[in-house]
Amino acid sequence: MSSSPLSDSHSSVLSTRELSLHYVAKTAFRKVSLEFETGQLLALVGPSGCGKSSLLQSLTRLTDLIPHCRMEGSILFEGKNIANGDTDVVQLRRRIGLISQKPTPFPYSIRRNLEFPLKEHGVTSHSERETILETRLQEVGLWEEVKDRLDCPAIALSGGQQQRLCIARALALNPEVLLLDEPCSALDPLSSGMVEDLISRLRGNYTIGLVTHNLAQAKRIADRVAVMWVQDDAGQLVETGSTSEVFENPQHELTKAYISGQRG
Amino acid sequence: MANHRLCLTSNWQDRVAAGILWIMAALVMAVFIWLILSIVRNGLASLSWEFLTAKPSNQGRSGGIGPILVSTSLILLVCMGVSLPIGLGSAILLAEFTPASQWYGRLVRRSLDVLAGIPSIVFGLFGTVFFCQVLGMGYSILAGGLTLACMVLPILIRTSEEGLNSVPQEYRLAAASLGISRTSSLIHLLLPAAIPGLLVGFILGLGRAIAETAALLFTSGYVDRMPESLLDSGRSLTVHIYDLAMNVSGGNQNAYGSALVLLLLLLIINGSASWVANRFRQSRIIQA
Repeated sequence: MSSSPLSDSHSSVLSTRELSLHYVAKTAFRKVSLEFETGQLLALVGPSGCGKSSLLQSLTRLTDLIPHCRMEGSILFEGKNIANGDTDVVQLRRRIGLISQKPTPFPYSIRRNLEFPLKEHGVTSHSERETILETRLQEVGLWEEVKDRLDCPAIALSGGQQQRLCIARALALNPEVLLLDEPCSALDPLSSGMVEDLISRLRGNYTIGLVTHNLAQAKRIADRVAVMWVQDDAGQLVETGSTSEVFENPQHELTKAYISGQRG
Repeated sequence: MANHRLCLTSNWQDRVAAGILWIMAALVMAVFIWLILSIVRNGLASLSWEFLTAKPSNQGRSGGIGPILVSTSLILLVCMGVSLPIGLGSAILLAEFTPASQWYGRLVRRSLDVLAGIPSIVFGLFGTVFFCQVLGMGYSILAGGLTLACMVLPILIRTSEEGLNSVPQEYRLAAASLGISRTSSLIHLLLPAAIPGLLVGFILGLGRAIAETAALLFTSGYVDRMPESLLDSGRSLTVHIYDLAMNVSGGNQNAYGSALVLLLLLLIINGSASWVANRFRQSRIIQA
């Protein structure tokens, strides 16, 4: 794990301080303080409904789209608090990519799926876009599979290919942080394996937050693990540590029960 | 396995139910076909270039429907020209910027549903008072078109809103998480993806406008001269058919002819709207 080029400093590019998120009738998570260390892969695990996905969404301020949603506490991205109103969310979302559980390619051609966000972010040169397209598709291992049909509809790709396209689309904007919300759970085992391999290749080049239900997956590819649990009707962080610490020597009772398969 | 399936389809209750449904559907089709056939059979004799371009004479018993076609087109143009931008704008506001639970959105939606159910004659009365008298437009094509626009708007807004709502929420989230502004995702993603629904709204709205008679009697009037401006009174095709069928003895032949033209007009406008919308959609969206 020390082979990651960015992880030597162990400073955190992204962190939350006592962050809480309230929906109208429910608190998604309460007082979560979490560090995403630069260049490392942090896996967020825990049972359904413990606020893992909401936490990822709040990190890119996608929770702004949910009516009457209220955030407390702070999110520090490169030292600046981005939880308040005057943050440029367009820039923020370019620099922190978020991949959702269900692959959501736009109803465009494969090419235009990457071109559309690039144009939006001011990449006006056609040749520059083409270069980024090829580089990123190669990065996610999709180039050989699609290079002859870039103008075909992205919806026609298999689920796993769609998910890798979505990852390439986020990477095209050159983000520092990549957040993945159960990126493998909607895929068949083979595609799931390919996406997992991709994530593990990306580790080290990006700071990654990965929500997963699959403990074995977390154990295989994460540098650090954070365990969340529903306590007092809201998701809370119960334990964080390096993958080996959490799996071999868990401190919290809930973590012990969860990783041994007794709870969750 | 095959035996089992055979057993299922030979269930007599299912057969009877299916039979009844087929008969119902056939009845509907029969009425539709009978209507079309009768109009085509009776109207075809009148149809000619002369009929489409000439002025009506002898109260419409003879001559053509040239000025009436022009008035009808102008009324529709005013109606759709005004209602499309307003309707689309309101639909976007309701679907994209007003949460379903908010009281303001609920109030607007409820009002629109009530408005959509109001009989056209009431819109006609409103148009006479508001456009013709208060705004001083008199009996005119402009007043008629604007009255129709009021009438069409509720349908247009509600169907367009449905169209936008049918676009998967995931697209909005995916676009937002890539830092794409709401305006851009609306123009490049949501509106093109909603085209089928928007088209239904347009066709329903236009259908209601082109079929309207009552509201136009009060507002655009029934002068059958060639209109010289939007402030002239003009007779629509439906008013013409009504007049020929009810007030002019011996006008039936030309009434059928006009009805056939009305049907063709509707088909042509709907067909070209579908074509344009699909072209626009294909230029933006690629289907699997």
